Amino acid sequence: MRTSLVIMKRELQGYFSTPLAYVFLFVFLFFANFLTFRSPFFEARQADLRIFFDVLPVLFIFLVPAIGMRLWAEERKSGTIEMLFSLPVRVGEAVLGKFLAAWVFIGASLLLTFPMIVTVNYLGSPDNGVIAAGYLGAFFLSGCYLAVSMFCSSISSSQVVSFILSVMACTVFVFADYPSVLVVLQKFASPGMIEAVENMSFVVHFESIRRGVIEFTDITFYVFFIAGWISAACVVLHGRREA
Amino acid sequence: MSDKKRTAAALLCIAVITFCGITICDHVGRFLRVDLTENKLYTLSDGTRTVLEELRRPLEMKLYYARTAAMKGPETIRAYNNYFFYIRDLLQEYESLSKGKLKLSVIDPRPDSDDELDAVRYGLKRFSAGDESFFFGLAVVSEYGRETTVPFFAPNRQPLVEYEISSAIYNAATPAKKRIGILSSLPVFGGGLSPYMAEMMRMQGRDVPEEWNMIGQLNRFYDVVPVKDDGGNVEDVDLLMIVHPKGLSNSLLAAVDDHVMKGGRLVVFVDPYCVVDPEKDHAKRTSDLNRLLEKWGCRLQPNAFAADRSLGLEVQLGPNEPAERLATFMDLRGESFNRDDVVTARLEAVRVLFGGVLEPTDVPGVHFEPIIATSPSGNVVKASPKDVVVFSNPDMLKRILEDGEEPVVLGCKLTGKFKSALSKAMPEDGATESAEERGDSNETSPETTIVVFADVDMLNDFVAFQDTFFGVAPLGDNMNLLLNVMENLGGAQALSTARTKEKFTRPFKVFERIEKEAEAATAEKVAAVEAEMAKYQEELQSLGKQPGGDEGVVMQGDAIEKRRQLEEQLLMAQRELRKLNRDKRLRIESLTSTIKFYNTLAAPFVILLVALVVFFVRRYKKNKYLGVRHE
Repeated sequence: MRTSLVIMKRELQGYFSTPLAYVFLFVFLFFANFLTFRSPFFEARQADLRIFFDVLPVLFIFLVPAIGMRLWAEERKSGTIEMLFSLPVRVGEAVLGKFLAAWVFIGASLLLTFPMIVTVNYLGSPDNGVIAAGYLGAFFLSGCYLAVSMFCSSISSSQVVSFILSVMACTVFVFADYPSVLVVLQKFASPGMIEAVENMSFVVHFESIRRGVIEFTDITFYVFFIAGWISAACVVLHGRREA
Repeated sequence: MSDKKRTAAALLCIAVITFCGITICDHVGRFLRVDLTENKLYTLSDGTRTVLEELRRPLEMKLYYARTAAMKGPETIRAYNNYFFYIRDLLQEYESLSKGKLKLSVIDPRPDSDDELDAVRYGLKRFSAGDESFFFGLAVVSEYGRETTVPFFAPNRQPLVEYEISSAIYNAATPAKKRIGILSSLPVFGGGLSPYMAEMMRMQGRDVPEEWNMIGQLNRFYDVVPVKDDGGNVEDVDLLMIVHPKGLSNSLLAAVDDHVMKGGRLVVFVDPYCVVDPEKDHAKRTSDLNRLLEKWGCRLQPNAFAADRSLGLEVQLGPNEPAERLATFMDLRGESFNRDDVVTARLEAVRVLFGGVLEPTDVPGVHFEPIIATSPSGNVVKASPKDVVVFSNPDMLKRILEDGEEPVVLGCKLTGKFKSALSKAMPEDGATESAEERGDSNETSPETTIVVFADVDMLNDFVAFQDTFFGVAPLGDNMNLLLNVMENLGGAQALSTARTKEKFTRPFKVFERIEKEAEAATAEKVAAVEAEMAKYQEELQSLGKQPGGDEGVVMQGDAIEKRRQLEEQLLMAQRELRKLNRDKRLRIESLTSTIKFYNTLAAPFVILLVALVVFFVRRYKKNKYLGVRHE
């Protein structure tokens, strides 16, 4: 774990040594707020962040893979992956370190949307417990996107391919609970299967948390989901190291 | 096995483990949760939890919300979206707490679809929204086809929404009609004659006691039966209703006591003076059940009548006499009702005639909750039932009645575990029994509810019903009060404790304040402009009414010119009014623009600024380093 934390620190420093972090923060903050105000935020006249949290799942589809695509694809392309694995570092530690760095960075980006909290507290008396739950849900949600993106990054040496694969995979998991998707599934899948597919949607669990109720099942979904995809990335990279 | 195959096998194992882990946790821990909302909006009351735990068969909850119609419709309908989200989330909470017994489906009934037909068939309220129909209700359907509904979710009834939903679920899961036993000294069931015999007696000019309309009302929803003289069938009823109890035998009292001790629910109507009592002796028109009720938490004050000048109805005592307010014949309104109790929360007007006064007897473990009362200015009139002139004469009441300082309780709800009000060794019927002889039994009932009202006439046809062109119709909310009590008590005991919900809306107070300030600032001007407009319109109308004739031709020419001027002035006034309204909006629009600007652009530009600073600092350091190296 200590090694993972060292790698995480090094990665985080790496983000800010290039324009990547600033560009990401700029784009994320601009679009998160822009899309919120483009929706009927003022017309609803409700002191809550429901609309803001509505925007995040779609925004994350494009922005989180942008962070995740370079995690391993860049290392592989530049050849630094061999150097990394020549160090006394286990694959799992390296994967966890990189994942945590990216996740903390996205978490920090979320925190930088605090002017929205100030805004709704100025305009009315929001339920800050619900807002806190919403942010927690958004953090876990971003973790899921990131884990998927990291896996995609581990299987490709091209960042573009990794990005496209990530976007596609995340889209599937976001829209898994959409009625139109379920209607199609109904034609050939059993009810239990449909329920399982629905339950794999990121959004179903995010919806549940952001209304202000933290459920054990939602948290365990995120934990298992993230752990599963991180483990898969470990397996792929381990195979490459062995090769 | 090749490396690729090994990797693929490992990935498959991970996928299976992940999927199984998620599925197992989903089933094992679905009841572990923390509600972080300030008012515990999604924490269902213990009453609702009990109802859900007792579900034995699966039920389907169909939430109909015409979302498409709402989005296409006017602003007023679109405003329901927020409430829809709350209701949907709340129903999801029901679903997750039901251990798989409830299945929620959210339906958007589009025009001419089967869903729309179903919504109409379930009896959900339909509103027109352009070319679409707007629905927002719930249908709960059991596997046996029993259907119950919440016809419309009105945001202003949010405090009651948990009760409404829980009640619909409970009723859908409980197929049999509840049985109400009525014990009364009055002929509430009529004479028990067949329609043929009754008609024959009428033809002979004899009085035929008719069944009270309230029995018909109750029969629509319940199986209503009279309680036998010896109380032998009390055990068979789900709910016991006692109306005007007079001279109850010990066996009947024991049956009532037993009913409560077994957790049965009880509704009691007592009266210090029952107008519809056929008893000739006025002193004997009184009834009470104090012998039992005192031990259960309340008593009817003897020789006391509730009166309230502000609620008194106008009555005409003689054919040529002017109508006067009678403070003891009250039309309870507004603050007379306990808005926190599901029984009375929605009532508007209940009539009470010569009602009595209920007071708590402070029994430990029993909660006394007033549900109907006079206004705070109501007071007590002390009079014996035989002094009819004291409490029924408006002039007399005017002289003796003073405004009180707190409401006089006319109806109350007692909740808790009750102790038996009778000793185990009851004397035989006919033997007199002193208070000292009655010893308290240690028997305690399960948690149950007793509702007591201090008026009997409020149930009778001449107070609670009126003749209309279409037949007899309920007058005011007297019958609604009775039905609410029965629904509340006839349901699961748990339902009677289903709590009211706090408000979920959190409006932009700053906007409201700005609007109020702007309205206050422009109120005079708006009023002046509106008055001016009204004047112009009046003048315009009067011009249109001017007579014709020879002179009229000349006048018509003038009139046309004047009309044109007036229309111009009216247009200008309308423009000015629009400008005033626009000024009101401008302040809000300016605030929203500022907020949009700072949120959308300020934060990203701060990041940009930091990036530039970091870039220049790094370049400076690099140049400095290169400079040193160069030297």
